[in-house]
Amino acid sequence: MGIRRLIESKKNSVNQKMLHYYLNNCSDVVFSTGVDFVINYCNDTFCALTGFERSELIGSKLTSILDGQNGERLLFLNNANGSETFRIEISIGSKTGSIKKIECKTSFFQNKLFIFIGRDITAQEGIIKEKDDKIKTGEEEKARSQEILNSIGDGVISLNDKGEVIYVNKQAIDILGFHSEELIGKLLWKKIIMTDDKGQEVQIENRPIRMALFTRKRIYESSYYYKSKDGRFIPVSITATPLVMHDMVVGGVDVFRDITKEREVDRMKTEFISLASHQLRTPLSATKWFAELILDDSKNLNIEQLGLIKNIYTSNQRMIDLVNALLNISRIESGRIINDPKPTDLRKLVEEVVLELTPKIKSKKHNVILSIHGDLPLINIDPRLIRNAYMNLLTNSIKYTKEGGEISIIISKRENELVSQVSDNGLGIPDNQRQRIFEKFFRSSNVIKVETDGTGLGLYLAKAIIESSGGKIWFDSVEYKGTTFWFTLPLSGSVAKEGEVTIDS
Amino acid sequence: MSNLNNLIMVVEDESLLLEAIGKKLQREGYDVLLCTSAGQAVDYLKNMKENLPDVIWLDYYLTDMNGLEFMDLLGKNENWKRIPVIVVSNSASEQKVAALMKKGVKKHILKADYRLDEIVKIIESYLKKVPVR
Repeated sequence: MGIRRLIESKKNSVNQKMLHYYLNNCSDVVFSTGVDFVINYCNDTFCALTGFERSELIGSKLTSILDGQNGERLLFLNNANGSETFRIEISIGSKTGSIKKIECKTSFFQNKLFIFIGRDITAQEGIIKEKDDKIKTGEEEKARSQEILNSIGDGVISLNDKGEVIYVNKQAIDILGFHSEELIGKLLWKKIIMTDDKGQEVQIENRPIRMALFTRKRIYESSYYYKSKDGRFIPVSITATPLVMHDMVVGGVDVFRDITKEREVDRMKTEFISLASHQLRTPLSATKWFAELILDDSKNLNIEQLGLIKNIYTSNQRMIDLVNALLNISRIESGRIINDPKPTDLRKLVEEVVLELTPKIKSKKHNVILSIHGDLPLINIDPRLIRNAYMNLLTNSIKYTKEGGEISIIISKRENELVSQVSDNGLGIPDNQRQRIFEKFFRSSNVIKVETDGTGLGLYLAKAIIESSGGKIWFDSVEYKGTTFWFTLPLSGSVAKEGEVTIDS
Repeated sequence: MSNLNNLIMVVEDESLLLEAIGKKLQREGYDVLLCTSAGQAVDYLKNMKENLPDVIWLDYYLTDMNGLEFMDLLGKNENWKRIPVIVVSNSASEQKVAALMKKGVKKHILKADYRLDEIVKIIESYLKKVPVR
């Protein structure tokens, strides 16, 4: 007895036809067996799923088409009481050999019939497995990232789009002293105070992470301090990055590093150079002055002796220049240098520099041409710094141009800047060394041959000065034809910078 | 060569520098009073009463005090206060120079940047009577 008979027993009923039609066209598989598990009914869906003809299925044991051992699953059905419904999963080996998984609801009908109504979950199984795999890889990925984030030396704080903390790594906790629970869910800019180097609290809108979220740009900042839970102000170098997905800012990451030690080392380095250089000045002064005393009284010397003493004097002078340049560099690099802009007449400044260099210019019989815009406005720059820049450029021109050379200084006015040009018809800069010309201690190969005297610091300093004054510096040169340097100074003037030291002191 | 009216006091704790300065000034025709410490300089001044130095050449970092403290000592005596002081030192921060000028220092010079004859010219500019050479 099967469903078919149940259906056929009420022949001609429209309802029965409907049921029949439905059973063969629904997406569920429907089949029935006797208590011996011999199949006595199956719908078209089941046939299609298994690939067998109905005639092949009817009369055969369900266990014969089950895949592997899962026939045992059916055994517990033997203990079933009437009208109980079970949910079982069976795998069927189809005619083509593929395995089909079916999730079935099984009812024991009138103590003689098992009715199975089920769904093909083969594909779903695959999806679930894939999902499981994905979750697994996702979890692995997460664990790996967590481990990386906890192992790196930088503090990492992740925020949502509102600025609430959603993740803090171990370093961030170590640096700031807050527990992760104290930060999660809190607004970063409310929970952790940030100050500038004067101890003033940084305005929320100027906080790097706020700016990153707002401008959608990565922000680098290394002049601020985070206040730790125990009240210490920790200098930090911060990289604040917005997380942008589908053109929406969904959050941000604040990565920071405690730079206390770097600051300390930097300060020590600067202090050391400064101290060492100052100490060097005493013996350098002694050598300079004793050599001067001998040269003053040179009538008692023969020509060879005179030359030797002059060499001592020159070498010593070179050492003095080197110490001065080193001191200037340590000042500029330490950021302690004062930029104290004053309304300055560049014409006057340049004329003074030229006047000071006149002995050197005359000794090399150079011709110096000054061409300065007739209506030059006063410009707000630090005259000591800019003077040093002109001095370095002109000294180079004088030194690295053969006797009787031509050096010109042109100052012109553009819309919003003054352009200074220093040209010579000297040795020039070899093409392959153009890149390195502003490097510290770099001297080009052609000038070293001609002029041993030089520190390789002049252009490095000039560039540092011009750039810290808000200008730009560049050059053009043809080897053995000459060199032209240009630098600009903004008419709006340089930005004042407080510091501890001035150049050349 | 010698001009008794022009006496230069040099306070410098580096004996080699002191020697060089002394030689130069003597050659230029000055009377010199060489002191290796501030204490020694003050003792000299105390004993001199009348014939005080016309100029004091002062090093900033001395073994017993610094230039600012020395200027304070000079400031306590009406006669000493009038002596022009030129500080010749190894370093010159903005603040230091400003503080020295405030205490009456006439000029501040960086040692290694000047030749002796350049410094002598500066000293001469603060003398009432330039020596006849």
